[in-house]
Amino acid sequence: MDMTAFAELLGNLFIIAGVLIFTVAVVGLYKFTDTYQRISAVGTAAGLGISLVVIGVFFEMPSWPNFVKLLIILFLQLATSSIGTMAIARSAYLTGSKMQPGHFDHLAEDQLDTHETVHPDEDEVHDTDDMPSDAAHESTD
Amino acid sequence: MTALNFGLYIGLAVLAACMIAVAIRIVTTRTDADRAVSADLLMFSFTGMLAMIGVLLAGAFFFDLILIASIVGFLSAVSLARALIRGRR
Repeated sequence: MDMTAFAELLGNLFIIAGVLIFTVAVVGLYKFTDTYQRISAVGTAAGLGISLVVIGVFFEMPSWPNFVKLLIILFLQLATSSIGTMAIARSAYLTGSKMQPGHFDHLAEDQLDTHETVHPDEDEVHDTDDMPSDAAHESTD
Repeated sequence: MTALNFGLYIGLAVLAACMIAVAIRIVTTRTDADRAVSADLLMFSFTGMLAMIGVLLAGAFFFDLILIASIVGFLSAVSLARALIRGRR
């Protein structure tokens, strides 16, 4: 078995592994009941899956310019997938997506005024005072 | 010995089924944030499909396509996040 056939076989295995990780991400999108769980599943699995697929595609046609582009693509994918999903998660929090009961809302605790305290027996987010509501804030655009 | 591209065809079929499932998820969900994260996953899947089709069809330039698709995918994710909160910070 020469080198090109071995490289193509390795590339095919990497592609199948990446596509299986995408399948896990889609199953997580269906099975989870909370918005933030879905965002966490998609954000980690999409970046990893696309990285494996691109590595497998590189092994199909290896060359030095393709290797440089592969490094750039890997760096961009791993950096931007997390930033993009964190931006979506922040927007989901700011529009008031509810978490499942039994959670710890540290962001709401941080956004309280200094003279208020957090009651430990309530686990719902306070309705009016703490969330940055749309009508109250004047944003300079 | 010529290696068959079995991984490419299997990957294309499974990824197409995943994209159809994500598209159904975009239509049938209730929250806007779920639609945004499903569209993000759809964009990543499209980049993967572009990579696999580029090996089969295109010549030596498919890596440039993947590079541009990943940058556009990141841009679309951040744009969806900004569209979700109607432009306010």
